Amino acid sequence: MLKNYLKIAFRNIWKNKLFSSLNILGLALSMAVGVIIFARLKANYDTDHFHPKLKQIVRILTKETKDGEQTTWATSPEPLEVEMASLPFIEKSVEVRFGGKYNLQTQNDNVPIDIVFSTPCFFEVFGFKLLAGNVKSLTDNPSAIFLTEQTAKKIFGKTNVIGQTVQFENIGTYSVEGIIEDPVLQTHLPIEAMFSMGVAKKLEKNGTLKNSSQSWNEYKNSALYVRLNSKDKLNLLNNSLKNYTRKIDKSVLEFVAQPLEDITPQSQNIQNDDHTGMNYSGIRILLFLVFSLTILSSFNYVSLSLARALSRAQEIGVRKTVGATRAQIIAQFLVEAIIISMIALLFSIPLVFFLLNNIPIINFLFRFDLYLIMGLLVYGIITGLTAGILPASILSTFQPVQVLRKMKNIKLLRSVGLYKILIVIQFSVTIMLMVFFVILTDFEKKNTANINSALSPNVLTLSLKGEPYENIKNEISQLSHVENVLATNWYYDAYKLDNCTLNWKNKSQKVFYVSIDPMTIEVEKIKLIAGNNFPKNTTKNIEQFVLLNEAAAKLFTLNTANIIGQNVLIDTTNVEVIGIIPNQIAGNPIPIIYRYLPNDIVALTIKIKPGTEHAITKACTEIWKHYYPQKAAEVRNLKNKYMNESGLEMMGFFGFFASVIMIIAAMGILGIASYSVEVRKKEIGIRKVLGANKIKLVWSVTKNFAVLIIVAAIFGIPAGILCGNFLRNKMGSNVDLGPINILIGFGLVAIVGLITVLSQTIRAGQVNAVKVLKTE
Amino acid sequence: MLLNLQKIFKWVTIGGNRTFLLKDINLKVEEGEFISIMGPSGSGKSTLLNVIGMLDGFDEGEYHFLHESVHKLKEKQRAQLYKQYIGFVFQQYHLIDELTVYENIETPLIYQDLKSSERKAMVADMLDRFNIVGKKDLFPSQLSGGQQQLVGIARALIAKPKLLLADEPTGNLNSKQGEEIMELFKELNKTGVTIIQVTHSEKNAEYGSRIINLLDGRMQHDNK
Repeated sequence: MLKNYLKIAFRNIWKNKLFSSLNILGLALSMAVGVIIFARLKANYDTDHFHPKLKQIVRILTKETKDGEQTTWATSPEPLEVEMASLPFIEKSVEVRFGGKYNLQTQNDNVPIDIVFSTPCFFEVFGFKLLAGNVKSLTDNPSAIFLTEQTAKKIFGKTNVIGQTVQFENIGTYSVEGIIEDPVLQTHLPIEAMFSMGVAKKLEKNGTLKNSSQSWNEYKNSALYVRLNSKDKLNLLNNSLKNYTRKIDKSVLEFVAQPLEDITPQSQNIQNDDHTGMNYSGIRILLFLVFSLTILSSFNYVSLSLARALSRAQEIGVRKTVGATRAQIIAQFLVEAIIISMIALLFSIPLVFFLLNNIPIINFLFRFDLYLIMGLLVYGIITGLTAGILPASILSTFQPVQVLRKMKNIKLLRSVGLYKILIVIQFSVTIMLMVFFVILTDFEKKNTANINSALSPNVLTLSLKGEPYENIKNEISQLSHVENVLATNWYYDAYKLDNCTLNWKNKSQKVFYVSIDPMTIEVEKIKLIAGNNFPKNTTKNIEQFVLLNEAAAKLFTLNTANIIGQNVLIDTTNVEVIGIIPNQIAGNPIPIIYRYLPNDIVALTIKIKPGTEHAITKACTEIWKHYYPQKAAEVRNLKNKYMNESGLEMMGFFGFFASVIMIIAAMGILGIASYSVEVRKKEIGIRKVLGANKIKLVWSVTKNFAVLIIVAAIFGIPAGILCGNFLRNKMGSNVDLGPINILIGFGLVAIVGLITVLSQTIRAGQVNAVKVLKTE
Repeated sequence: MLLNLQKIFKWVTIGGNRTFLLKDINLKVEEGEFISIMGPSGSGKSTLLNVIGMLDGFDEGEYHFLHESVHKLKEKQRAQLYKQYIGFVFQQYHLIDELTVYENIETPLIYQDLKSSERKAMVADMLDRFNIVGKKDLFPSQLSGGQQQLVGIARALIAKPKLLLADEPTGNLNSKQGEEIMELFKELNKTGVTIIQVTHSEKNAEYGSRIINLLDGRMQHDNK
């Protein structure tokens, strides 16, 4: 039976090449996205699954309770490991201390490398392996460093580099004694370079690292992993951990064990846990995307199948008269749909690799394995069933006596309007996405234009890396082509935002603040909305005055001038509001407090004369080296720093998504337009004989589709505006929901839709009346 | 007795008026008969054939087929019944375009869940009997009308039905091809297959042993 279904399915696919290829392409497009999403979910699920005895490995979390608020950290105090060593059910334990990024100095460049410190136990607890070298050198040799394959390739261009030396800024020279194999799966512990714990202690002594190896107060630097002798001992361990609860300063630290398996996807809010991959809400969003894409591309299949119902009707009638049951007919159509979706799945694979290589936001470890392939086959079958079930159940209701009569002009489908509904839904979604995409693009363009107009290209920043800036600022400002130097964390956009609580008149709000150089406003000639800039003689040590931006002032009073001269409480500091500054020009106009906190400054902003960037960069580097030879100078053009932000990524994503949906919708309408010309040939022939001209004929076939697209607009445009409104609520009034954006969005879809339809209906003008009327 | 129609009425209601398609049809058919139904266009010939073939229902009356009361059966049971006992031949042949001659003939057996080896033997037998072994891998579009109808008949007979219903089987054929088909029917009838055919042609009707004339849904004449 199945063989027969397959045979007829393949022959049907082959016979109706246009319909089949439209179906396959439409499904393949959506399935390519689906395959990527499933591979992404699989990679996420597989995170850390390469460790042997995975179920026995746990991580110790720190729960910090401070002022009644509990925060969970993925890290724990280092002395805990020794204390726990006596617990009988612990097989092995390992401490991984995170050092942060340090510059590895190569001949041409500084490469920032994330470093960790650990012990040989690391390779026993986890499934990480050494490709070359001996784990023992991590303890025996105090100048040893282990690099991962990837890091070795990045630095040396090859992996057989045992014995080579690497020079780190600030922390010294080491020799490569081990190459860590890159894990086959994603991990929450991505390593670049590893030193021994001894190196950490040495660096603690010379002050480069915080003194945390003996301290219970420092619980944010290292993670503790233990392997239990059985996974059932988790409760026992958690009970024992209660004995180690500590009081430090103002907080209480409790410890709990978290199975390694539970780290990804992240299910609770854990600090210092940056590589856990996607959390559940991310997973849900991706699944929703797959779901809606599958439905939308299935609509294509449904409407194309229904459009072809007439030509299949006879076959169904015959099959029923020779004994087929309805279930058998349904099965046959479902098999056909599944075969189409399987072929589409096959075609989607090259598309997947194309997308993986060309869209930078899809960034994860993509690999095929048996489970993924099986999952994808199931996905293909489900897509086929989703697409096929509706046409199958409708077509299988045909009664032989209806379809085998000599007259063909009987009404077969009461549900013939269904395909119209499907087209309207598809185009509504397309219009919604396009309208939103145009709004988003317009917003990003304005943003970029704003940044371009406000920022001259001749502004550099020098990162301070925690060092004081006074001397260096003085020296740089005396360089010949430097116009001015500001020590500010804000220059039309914040480099560094922090949270504080602003209290005024019984109202308390959490607001961002940024530290600003009082000179910024004067130098940049920023016009305040009300009030004044910081006075010239503002003291450095005691904070007296703040500026609010308009958005921040509006949180407290409608008339922003009311708050000027008022005393407000920021956290525990009393200050006076002296002025209101306009909202930020770029990005999101969030409420911000502008404070003068010289110790908080992270960068110098250097305005230079045109054409001197290279020379000044060099001069700044020299000055920096003179003061802080251990740290590398980091000078960047500010404009480069501000551009290519996440907005562009979002734009790319929505643009891509909207185009996929639009192409799918266009394919659906293409097939149906082609079909509608086919079935109306006779009518068109009669009209022609009666004297209709070509344009009228083409229009008579096209207009139905035009109506469908307009109906779709009735749903799609408001939905697009609604999405735009969400963006507006998040990003502020710069988001333009005006008619021009909406018209462009709708116009794009309407033009693509109508051109697609016309490509088929144009044939209505060429119908040879004599021929069609004779053959009827 | 093979089948017995008693006081069969069938109508459609158009604009509040009943238009009768079949009116008080009483018909007994014995096994082995060869019946021709005749009458002008719109007299209800095909409708009667469809009712007999259980493809279409009726509004009043009783229909007994073998020992079953068809009017009491549900659609599914009726389908089961005609699947087992009735073969259909159509004026437009109604072969499945995507299947070869062999596969077209095989299809009814597939729906009866016969094993592949059994099917093979039966189809080979039928091809042989109809002298179309050489054409078994051709598609319907590659055959002449007469050949297509031959395949249609082979398909109708493959499941060994007791009753063959033919709706103007020669209507689309030239006279020579038509004659061959009628000769074939005659021979089939001799082997015991009951045949009921609808025809316009007096000459074809003569092949049957009994002629029923219909006019406006009513039986005018039965030369039993």
